[in-house]
Amino acid sequence: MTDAEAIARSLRQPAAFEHVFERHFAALFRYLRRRVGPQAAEDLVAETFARAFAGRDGYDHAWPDARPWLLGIATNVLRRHWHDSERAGIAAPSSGSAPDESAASDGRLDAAAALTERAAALRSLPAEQREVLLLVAVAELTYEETAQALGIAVGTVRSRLSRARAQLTVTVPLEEPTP
Amino acid sequence: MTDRDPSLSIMSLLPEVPQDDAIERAARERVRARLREHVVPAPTPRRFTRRPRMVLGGAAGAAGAAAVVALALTSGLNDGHVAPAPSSAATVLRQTAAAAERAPAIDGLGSGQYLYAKRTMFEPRTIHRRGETFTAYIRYVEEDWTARDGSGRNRSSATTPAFPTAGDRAAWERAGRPSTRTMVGNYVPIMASTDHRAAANARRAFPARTGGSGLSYHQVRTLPTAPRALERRLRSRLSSVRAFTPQTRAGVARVQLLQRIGSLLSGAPLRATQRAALLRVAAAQPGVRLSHAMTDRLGRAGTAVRLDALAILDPSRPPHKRIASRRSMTLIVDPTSGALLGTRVVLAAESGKVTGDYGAVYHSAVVGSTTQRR
Repeated sequence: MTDAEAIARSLRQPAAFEHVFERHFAALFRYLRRRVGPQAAEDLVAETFARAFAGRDGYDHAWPDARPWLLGIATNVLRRHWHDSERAGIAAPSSGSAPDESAASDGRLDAAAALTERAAALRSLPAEQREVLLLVAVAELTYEETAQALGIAVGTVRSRLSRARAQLTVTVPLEEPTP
Repeated sequence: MTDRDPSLSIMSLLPEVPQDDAIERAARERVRARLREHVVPAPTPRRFTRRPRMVLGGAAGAAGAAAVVALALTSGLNDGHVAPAPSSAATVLRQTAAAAERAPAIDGLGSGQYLYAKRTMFEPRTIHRRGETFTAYIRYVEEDWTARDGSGRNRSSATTPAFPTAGDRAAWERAGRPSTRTMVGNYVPIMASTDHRAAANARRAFPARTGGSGLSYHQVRTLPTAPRALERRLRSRLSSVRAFTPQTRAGVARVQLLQRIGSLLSGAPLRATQRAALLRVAAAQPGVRLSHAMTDRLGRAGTAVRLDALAILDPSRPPHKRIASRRSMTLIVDPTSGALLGTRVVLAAESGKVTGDYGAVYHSAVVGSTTQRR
């Protein structure tokens, strides 16, 4: 059963929506966890599925895979999350990460500076460019899927991505090559 | 020089998360239960109630705090601590280099002596919490004790926050005195406190800090002391962007070089002659200029030298369509002792709007044990 079929069935049998949840929970949770950390991610993924369930009658059944649709909803949920909490930036690295012992012995201060600089670079992007960049680079959506997720044309995805990469290039050109 | 996709480094802000770990499995169970509650008994969806979350400032906060971090790093700006005014940045750096040749360094240590280095990074954050809004400096502190034989200690800790004004501190207290960890969120890899000690090792000094990334301990120890050769060695390791115009590439590379010099001077196990050579390389950079005579946050008189770069991808585009970024790197040095007192990096849009501003102060001394600080 495709996602489109499950969503159609869920209009008559709401429990059929669980098929969509089981198939896509991991991808959505991991994407949100990388962006906001595990605790907030749980709330946001729950809200994403709640909104998806509420809006399932508007799903475009031409798309058998619901992942782009769900990531588009997650993007809106994230935007609302940051608006609510007056955050314009991005989350710091996840608390799910283990302390990095190699960093401990070779310049945590430099690591902190690098993170600060990269966060500033990402914050400096217009929100619409940042979302496209993260959906492509982190959620690994194709350009077409990103266009579907955000309700924009594929050409717009390409131009936003191109501008985002160019802006990052001029903002953080100082990365050191690894030996 | 090498080209890298900048989005790859940005991705390091969003670290890989474990797949199907206990956190994910527990979240799946809870969310499934919430969804079932949602779907089965009450087909009309409602919003989930969110847990209260900490609120932190983002870009606006960083930009708003730009002016005050400058104050923290350079309090006492133009207050007459350095007189007469030095003639040029190059002169100041050459004076500092001469003093650095005589200053304590790892090769001048005697038995039982350690080179103690303390680095404190300040990152301004605007915090919104419990109805209060204030600016706090998130501080990261690193300390090294390194002996000539390579033994030593490295300690890393997150400290209590600092505040630019009494009003910010009062707001922080009214907000319940949140800890640094609470305010910064989840910078766990950076924030975790550590304390390591190591015995002598001829191949790898402890704490083996080599100035950030890229250079191994051996490469640091073999950096040449002839400025031109040293500059060639450092430049060979810089990344670049082929799409830049030659002018932009040169300007960005100079700032990049100054950042690398600041990073090495702030605690790498360098010989005195190597420290002096690094300062001479900085002195030779076109565009380096005096910024201010100042005292740093620890009250030490110093002089700031600064280098700016404007990176533009395609200068032929009209200004409103340009992709550009400004970067400014400042070294605060003490020409008398030869010490690096501080660094500051400011990132801004072409319009001048600040998007990032952070800095650090440094302190070093020769001590007699791995518990002593001076």
